[in-house]
Amino acid sequence: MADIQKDLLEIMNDYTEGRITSATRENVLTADFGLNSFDLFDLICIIEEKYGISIPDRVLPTLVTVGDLLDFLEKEVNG
Amino acid sequence: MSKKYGRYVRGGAPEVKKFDMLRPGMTQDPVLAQLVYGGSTLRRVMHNGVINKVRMEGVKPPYILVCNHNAFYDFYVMSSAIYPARGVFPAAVDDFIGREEILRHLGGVPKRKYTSDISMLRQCRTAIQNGQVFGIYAEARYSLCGVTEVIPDAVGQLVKHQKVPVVTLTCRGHHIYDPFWGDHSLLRKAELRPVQADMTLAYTSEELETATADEINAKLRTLLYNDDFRWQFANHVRLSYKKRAEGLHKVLYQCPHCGKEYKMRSKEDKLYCENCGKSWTLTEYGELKATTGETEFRFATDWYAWEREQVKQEVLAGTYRFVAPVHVNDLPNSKGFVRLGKGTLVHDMEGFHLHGTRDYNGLPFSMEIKAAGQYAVHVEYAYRFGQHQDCIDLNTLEDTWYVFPEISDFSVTKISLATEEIYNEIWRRRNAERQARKEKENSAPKGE
Repeated sequence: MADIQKDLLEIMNDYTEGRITSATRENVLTADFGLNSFDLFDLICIIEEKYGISIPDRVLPTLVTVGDLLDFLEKEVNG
Repeated sequence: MSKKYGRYVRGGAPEVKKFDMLRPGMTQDPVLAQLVYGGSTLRRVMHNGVINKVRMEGVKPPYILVCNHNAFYDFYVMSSAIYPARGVFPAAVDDFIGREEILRHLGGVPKRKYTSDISMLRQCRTAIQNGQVFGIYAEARYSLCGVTEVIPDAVGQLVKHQKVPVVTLTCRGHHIYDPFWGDHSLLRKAELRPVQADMTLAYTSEELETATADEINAKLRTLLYNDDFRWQFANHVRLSYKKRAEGLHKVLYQCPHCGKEYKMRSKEDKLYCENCGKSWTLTEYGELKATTGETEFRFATDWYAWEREQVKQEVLAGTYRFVAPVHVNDLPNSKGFVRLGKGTLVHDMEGFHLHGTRDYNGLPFSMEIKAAGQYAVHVEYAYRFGQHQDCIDLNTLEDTWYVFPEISDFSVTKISLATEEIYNEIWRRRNAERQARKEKENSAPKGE
């Protein structure tokens, strides 16, 4: 899980040009990091490409916090 | 519908089946599209509706259409303007009540307002790939006072990402014709002509490539800007409808003469303050005139801007807070609302905090919406479903709850303005802190 967490923080840091330097599981992606719906859409596309996965539409509404994203990736990537 | 709770609201057990938010947008049914076009054009012509097309020669779908939003009449003009093309349009979930299938067959896709709904962006991509028009009502609500409301930054990012032409449709006169705060009377609607729409090719695909998202947002905000009262006056559009000011006090809730809130009232063409007695007339050409003394604001939109400034000062001073007992209606699907129960709503610098007890089983319910994640909020005046009361529409990605304060002295307009100003202030502070941190890091001697 630690690798995924490190990767995810790196992706978010790159995407926001260094704005996100740390994150906790409880962080809300929109409210705490100021990411709007399009930013989330972009991030999801980057994550899908990096891990070679496809995040189904029905899962998207459940990805509200960093923890939600980590748990989903942990399940998808490490099976 | 239950007598106890009003139109399209029932009591009892919560609904299990929710809106299918993932069902793809449908290509408008061709036969239905012809009927819609015919009916829309008829409605447009009835009001001498002119569509000024700018740079639109040869523009064919797929393209993204970004519109301003003042009244349901916008849909008629939009349908008429894009014909023969057909489109897919996000629409608020409550628009689907009692007519879900027909709205879907017209290209409607349900959206919970002011939620970061990523699947909607995938719907946009699908519509564009299918060679359609994807329509966005960028303000995500009707304008409260006839002036363009906040347009989020995500719109510029979205349109740049799709790499297809971007067209704006700015409708003028629709607020005067059917104001969000008004009585929606046919007498008023029948009278008003002309109305006007400006359809402009804002960006070709090539122009999009060299424009930044910020530049795109700035241009879209300029093209979509509209002030209906000034438009009415400038174009000498007469509205003699006797009750033309009735309901305007819901928007203009604070008296500029004595400063008192929630004591404004309206009757026929008059607006007046119950606290100090001052009154104003809304003239047939959209101006406000004080009955006696100075006219503080010539147009309602200036008064509305002044109210925003008062709310902003409260936010900056940290004194803004709203607390009220409420009842809550849940909107699970297009069959209608289900009475959730009673509770308490707090709105403050942190956001919306709603807690209560379910009527059905006595269990608690709650909804927390962080202020930093919600740049605006949808409110309703004398909402048509339920018992015609003012309310706030709070959404998560899973739920839509309409919250009805049960006190007399409040204004959902103020709550709407406060939501925007709190969001702005939070991000202004965070950006300032980050900037200060960065400067400190840069100024620190190397190696420290």
